[in-house]
Amino acid sequence: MKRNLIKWLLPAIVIFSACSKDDVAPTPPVLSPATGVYVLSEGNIGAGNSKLGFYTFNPVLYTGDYFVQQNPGQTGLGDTGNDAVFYGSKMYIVMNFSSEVVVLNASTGVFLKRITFGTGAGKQNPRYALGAKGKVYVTSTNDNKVSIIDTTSLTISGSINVGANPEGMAVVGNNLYVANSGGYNLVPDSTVSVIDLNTNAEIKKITIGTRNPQRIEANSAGDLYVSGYGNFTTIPASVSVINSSTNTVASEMGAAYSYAFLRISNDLAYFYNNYGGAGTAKVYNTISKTVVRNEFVTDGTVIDNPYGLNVDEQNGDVYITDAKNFSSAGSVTCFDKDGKKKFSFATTAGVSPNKVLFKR
Amino acid sequence: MFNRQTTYRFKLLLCCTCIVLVLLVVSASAQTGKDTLPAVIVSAIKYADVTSSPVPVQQLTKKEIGSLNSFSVADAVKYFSGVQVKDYGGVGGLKTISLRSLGANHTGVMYDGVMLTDAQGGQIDLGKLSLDNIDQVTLYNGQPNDLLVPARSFAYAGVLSLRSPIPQYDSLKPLHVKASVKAGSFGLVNPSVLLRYNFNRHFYNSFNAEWMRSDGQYPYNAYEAGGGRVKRQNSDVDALRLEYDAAFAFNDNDNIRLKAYYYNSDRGLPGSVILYNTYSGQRLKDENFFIQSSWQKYFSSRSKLLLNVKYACNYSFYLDPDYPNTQGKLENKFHQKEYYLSAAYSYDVSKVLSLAYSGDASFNELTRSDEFVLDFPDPKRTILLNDVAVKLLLDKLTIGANLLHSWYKDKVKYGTDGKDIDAFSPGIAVNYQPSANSPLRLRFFYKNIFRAPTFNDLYYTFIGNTSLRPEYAKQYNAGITYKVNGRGFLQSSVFTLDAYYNTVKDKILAVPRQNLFQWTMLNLGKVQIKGLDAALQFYPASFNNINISARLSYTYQQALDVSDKNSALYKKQLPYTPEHSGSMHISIARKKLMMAYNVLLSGYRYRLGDQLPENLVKEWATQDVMMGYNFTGGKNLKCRLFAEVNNIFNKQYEIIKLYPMPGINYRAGLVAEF
Repeated sequence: MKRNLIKWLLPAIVIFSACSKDDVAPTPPVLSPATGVYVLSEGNIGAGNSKLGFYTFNPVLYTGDYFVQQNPGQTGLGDTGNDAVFYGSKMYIVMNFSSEVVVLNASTGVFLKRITFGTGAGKQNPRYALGAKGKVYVTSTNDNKVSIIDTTSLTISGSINVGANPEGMAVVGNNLYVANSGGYNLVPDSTVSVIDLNTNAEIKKITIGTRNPQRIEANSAGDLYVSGYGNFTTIPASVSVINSSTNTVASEMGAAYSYAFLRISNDLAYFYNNYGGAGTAKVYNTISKTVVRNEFVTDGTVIDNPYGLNVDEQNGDVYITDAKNFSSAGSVTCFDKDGKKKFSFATTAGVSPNKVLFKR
Repeated sequence: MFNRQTTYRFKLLLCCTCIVLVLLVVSASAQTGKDTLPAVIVSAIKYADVTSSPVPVQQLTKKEIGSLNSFSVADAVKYFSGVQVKDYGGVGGLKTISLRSLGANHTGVMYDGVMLTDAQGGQIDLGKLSLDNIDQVTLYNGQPNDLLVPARSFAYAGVLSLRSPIPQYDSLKPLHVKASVKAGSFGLVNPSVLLRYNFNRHFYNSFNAEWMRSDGQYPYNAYEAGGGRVKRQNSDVDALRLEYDAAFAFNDNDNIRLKAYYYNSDRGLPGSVILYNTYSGQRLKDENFFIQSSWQKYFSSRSKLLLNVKYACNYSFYLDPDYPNTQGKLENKFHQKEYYLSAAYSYDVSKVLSLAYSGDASFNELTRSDEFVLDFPDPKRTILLNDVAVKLLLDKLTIGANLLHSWYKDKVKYGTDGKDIDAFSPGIAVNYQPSANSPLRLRFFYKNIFRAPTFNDLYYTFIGNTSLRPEYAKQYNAGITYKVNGRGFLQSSVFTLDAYYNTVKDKILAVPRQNLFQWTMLNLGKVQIKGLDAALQFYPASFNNINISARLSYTYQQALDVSDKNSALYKKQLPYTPEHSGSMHISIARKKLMMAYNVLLSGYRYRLGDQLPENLVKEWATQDVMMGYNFTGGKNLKCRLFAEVNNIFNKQYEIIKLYPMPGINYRAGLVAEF
């Protein structure tokens, strides 16, 4: 009954939200160059020291706590900011331990709303967000669901059951793909849920070779790459590829691709592990299926603890965040697409910087 | 995973230690019962001599403890200088002691002469130790001055010694009963009873039971702007303690003591206040039991023996009822066992020279009995400690020196054994009085000791690292002491001032290895500590029946992280280490009435190495007052009524960031003895 109502209402909601000028993602047009970057630093779990910093190119200036600067009445962003996305004219920051999504005006950083993801024992601990089709989808580790944020009312309008402890998501066509990590179990999960965004229901669970999947991203051909941790002991990190037209595993990338994280931009996949010692990232062309470079950085620049990797879609610049010792300010280094350092800056006050968003 | 030669040396050492232990026991028993002296058993409390001690020593006696607004041992030790107590707030919150910035694992906590140990985490929660049955709290930097102590006393950078009441062999009044009840804010209820019965003038028995509960729901200012006053959640605690002591004195020079201790508690773990979402449902249950016995035998005024044996078992049950796995919860059930045997023998060669040997053997094991782990390694550890000590007692000069040999061997069921430890650790302490006419004394001590990696450091799932080496702490101390021996107003006041330089190397730190879920322990840290401890004890002469006692302490600490020259944290103050801290205590007694005023102060400090405004934890001061009234009823009934107001100015503060401390709170109680 309820589901029918939602089905009936859904087109109306979509149309309604489509009418709202604010909340539709611009259809991939020509991107203008970035004027600055937002940096989300996770902080330490339980320490309430997540920071949203802002770095402008001209003049060169880094504001360590841009959130509080723009919102003096707010105490702080919250605890353990795990992800941030732009969608429409808004920025959605996923606060894992505060269990909420903080919504800001994307261009000014002005606070709009905190969307609570459960309270008390019902705390959901959201992880990742993805904007698509007028909605923002958010995975939560503690309730094994993808919650749907209505981008006009900024409320949770529904949720979709998926597998255990879902993490990263990707969209191809009408389908949402969710990496089910099962990372809280002794034996982690190894599935990807396929959700039909028309019905908001899981239509399939694809079993992949990768254990404890974390990230899933698609290229322009509709191939989905999934990376996961393995089980930390006998099974190493690895990457699986899913064909989105058949929703089956196309290939397992094998031992040479022992990476728990990945980012795909302009069909180039950057595989990485967020720990130091073994270089930064492997660059792989997902169309020609060939390795571009085994080590992304080509000028010898050292990153102590590469933690997050983000790509400026407009010019291919790669921003690698350095968590250093995880207890003091980290840094962000910008490389051109050939792996040569362009500039870097310290994320003053920002411990464990992870996500970088490009302001245009 | 060890070569044949180490095995051989280990066995040899084990044999030697055992032989010495057996010889000492045999020689002792051979002489027992020979020289039964008339049964006049003298029992007296030994007070530490703060000024003539070569190592800094601070002591609180029963009377002082009773006027310090203190509930647990953790509250009392905050009045010592050189001490930082990490207090996570509330009656149930974790409270650990760090001596001169060396870290909690470097302080040994001794109960009636035998160390309390935790092979798993290495830290003793002083909040779990009640002051109800404690007569003396003594803190030694370095080690206790006595020669007749177990070898373990030498194995820490500092020792906190707790003493329960010493046996009273009083046959005239065989039964002694003490009952007390305390109640206070945040649902605190705390009754206790003590029964003492002497079967005869040789045999002392004491049974003590205490129960405590508190809902811990104290109000604090919400961290979120406009959040108002909120209450701390999941901070309740319910604890029961049972203690039985028996002592049998053959005579003045030969006595055996036995202690059995049982503690169980159930508490909420409130965790830090998570911004915008303060919920916590985690619970911890503990069960600790130990039984220890000591036999002290003086063969002559020169030749003394002390044997100790102990068995301890600890159980801890951690529950996270909201864990997002298939079972919907996470449980950790840990069981620890310890078997301990110690022998110490001291011999006074002359009035000037004394020698001592002590040998300890202990065996620890940790097992886990929940279904939430695969292949738990069930680590087992054997420790052999052998110590030789010498003491020179001249007119103006006291010198104590010791050499400790430590041998650690671990064995695990899965994975790799931790590294063996085979180390010599020296210590030397000197007290010198330049002029016989002046009570000014100078003192120096040097000690180089390590703390072994704990089972958690070595074997914790994913995080543990079995190739860890011990963490070394080197201490240099120079101080002056001054005791007023006058008859005037300032009679028996004591001033001590110590400056010290400590270094910690191979400090065991958690370092990220692969991701946030996969940290590992590494010997990476280096710390350089410069500090100053000053203490003043002031006992002016009584006038108009008014007795005043006062203590002042001040601590300066510069504790710098010197681990990595290229790090942003290089030469930054260690987190949670204030440069300045201090305490003050004044009590005034007149006839039956007593009043006390207590102050604790801490300068600002940072929660992380980065000295940024948002990492700042503000300076704080708390002021407590109490009042006590003694009265008698009937023939033998002695009563004490007391009331405390803690944090009278309702100071809102934190010791650990996002762990708010209670504001103003009250306690009152009645103690009756007959």
